[in-house]
Amino acid sequence: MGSTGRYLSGLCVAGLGLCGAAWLVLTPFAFGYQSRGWHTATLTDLATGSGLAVICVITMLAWTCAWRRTLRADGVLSRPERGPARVRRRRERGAGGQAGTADPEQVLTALRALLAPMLDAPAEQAPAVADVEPVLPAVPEVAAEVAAVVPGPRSAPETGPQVMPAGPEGIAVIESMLAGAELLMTGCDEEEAW
Amino acid sequence: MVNKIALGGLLAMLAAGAWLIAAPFVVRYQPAGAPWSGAARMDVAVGAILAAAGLTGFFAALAGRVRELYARAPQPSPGLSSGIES
Repeated sequence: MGSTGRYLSGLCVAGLGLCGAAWLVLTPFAFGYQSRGWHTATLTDLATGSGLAVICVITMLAWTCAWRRTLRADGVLSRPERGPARVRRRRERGAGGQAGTADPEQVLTALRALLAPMLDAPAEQAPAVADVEPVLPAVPEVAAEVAAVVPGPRSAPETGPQVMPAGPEGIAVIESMLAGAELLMTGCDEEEAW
Repeated sequence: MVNKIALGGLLAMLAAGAWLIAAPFVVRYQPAGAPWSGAARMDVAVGAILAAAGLTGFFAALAGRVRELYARAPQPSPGLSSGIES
């Protein structure tokens, strides 16, 4: 008999007491010894029965509360969420949104980890971008989203993943791209001036 | 606190049973030496049942509490002797 037996015995005894109290209250009328006026035995039984009923109800409530507290402490019962349903739904939605979107800091860290070996290693030892294992699971998801939004060049041959040259060549490529971007911006300004 | 109220309720049941056994003689609706009336017989019987149930329930709950305390207490290592030599 574990702790369950303890609480059950308390509840059963309190229930038995409640039945006894009801019996005490009803007996004077059931057995008819109340018929000759309010006998002292009748008064005694009624007073004792009603007091016993109150005691037994309080005892049952106390045992129930103690049992629920123990079950909650053991993790069997979960604490119910308090507050209106709208607030609970909003809280759940907020938790789901946080789980679905990637943290920008994590994405940047993963990108840095991906690009670091390309810039540091010599050109012949530089690994291809496609061979690098993603550090975080959020990076492929971001790449897939970008590929879905931005279409690739139509003239590009579909022979496989393009690898950016590492080392000084890669830096030269990036510098030439930046120069092209500056030219484009200058051209746009001139068009606006016209 | 709740446990104390619950145990106190069982003790109150025991006290109510004892009161029901004594009531016919205290309130004097059962004179000494006279044949027992129906009310006195019924009160003594119900009081005895209630007192027995309250006593049993109280000690059962107390035994369960003591068992819980023993289960939660840190167990002594097997290398240590208990201090009781056979």
